[in-house]
Amino acid sequence: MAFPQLIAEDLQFFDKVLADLVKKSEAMLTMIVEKAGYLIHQYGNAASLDTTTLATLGSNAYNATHFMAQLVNEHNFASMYQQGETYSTLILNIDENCILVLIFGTDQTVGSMKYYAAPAVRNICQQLKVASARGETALDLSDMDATDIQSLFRRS
Amino acid sequence: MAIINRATKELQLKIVYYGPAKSGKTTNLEQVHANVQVPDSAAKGKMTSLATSSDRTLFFDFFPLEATTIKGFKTKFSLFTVPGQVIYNATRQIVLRGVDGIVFVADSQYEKMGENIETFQHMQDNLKSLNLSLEDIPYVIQYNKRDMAEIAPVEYLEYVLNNREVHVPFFEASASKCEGVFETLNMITKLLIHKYLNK
Repeated sequence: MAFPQLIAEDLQFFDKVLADLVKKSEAMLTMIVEKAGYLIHQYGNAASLDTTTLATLGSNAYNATHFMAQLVNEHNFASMYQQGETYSTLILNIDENCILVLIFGTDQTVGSMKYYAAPAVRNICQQLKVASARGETALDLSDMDATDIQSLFRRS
Repeated sequence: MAIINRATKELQLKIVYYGPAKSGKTTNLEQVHANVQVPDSAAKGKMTSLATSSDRTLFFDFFPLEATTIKGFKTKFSLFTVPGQVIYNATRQIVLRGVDGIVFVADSQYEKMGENIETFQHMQDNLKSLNLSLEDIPYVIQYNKRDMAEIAPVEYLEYVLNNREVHVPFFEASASKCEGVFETLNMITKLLIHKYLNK
């Protein structure tokens, strides 16, 4: 199943869920990331962080570890944790297309992150199902001038 | 698998540069990153390279690049390379996940022909393992290293690598001199946009 098209209602819902998660867990930053590496939504303090790169690295790290788990016949793979000295990262599976990334200070515990993230994961998963059920609408690019895309990128 | 976000009016597409070891995949990305014209600094992200100590790609190189807004949609491309070395085949599969378009970077040197063919076959196998197929994914071929000695004629490369039911666009390039790099990128982005035009 492909990642669903999102509308404003979905993003508002994600914002509410992630805000609640940040408030309760005291995580610094939370991100919903598609497993091919796209950042879908973020909430928290990302002031000095390159979240696009974080999302890509997080998804690929998760996919690589998942692949590794499968090689040793471990099929129950739903999370991975990187313990840092100042900040740690917890990545949780949402569904077949998506993960939740939490970055939190080491004054917090991974156990509390997992505890508060569990309902958030369920709620995000449910909203993605709602978005999928809504179906896809084709992009209306029909009257686009084809010459606009002859050279999208130019050399300086 | 493109991401269409109607709320933020964004279309996100993933392009993977695939090819044998040392064919110039990373050089292509470096040249685009260094030379692309962007309206503002936010349109071009930082280039991330997960490389070995000897500067060979270990996992991937990556950077995000925004194109001009098309019909109100901000189009964002994520450019990736895969590691060329065969021992990293598992990571190539991971990087291919969710791919929308592929640039196959072939090495034009005669001595690399076997590797070109083998890597192309591996690419098809890896796509198959992800339930994807070249029939469904726009791709172009770049014959790189045209500035080297002992290179095969383009006609021969075409016969060897582009001899399928659907003949795909190809480009001659010397990525280290930034020749053919933008032509290749513009063609794959054009094919991707046309895929949506024709839906």
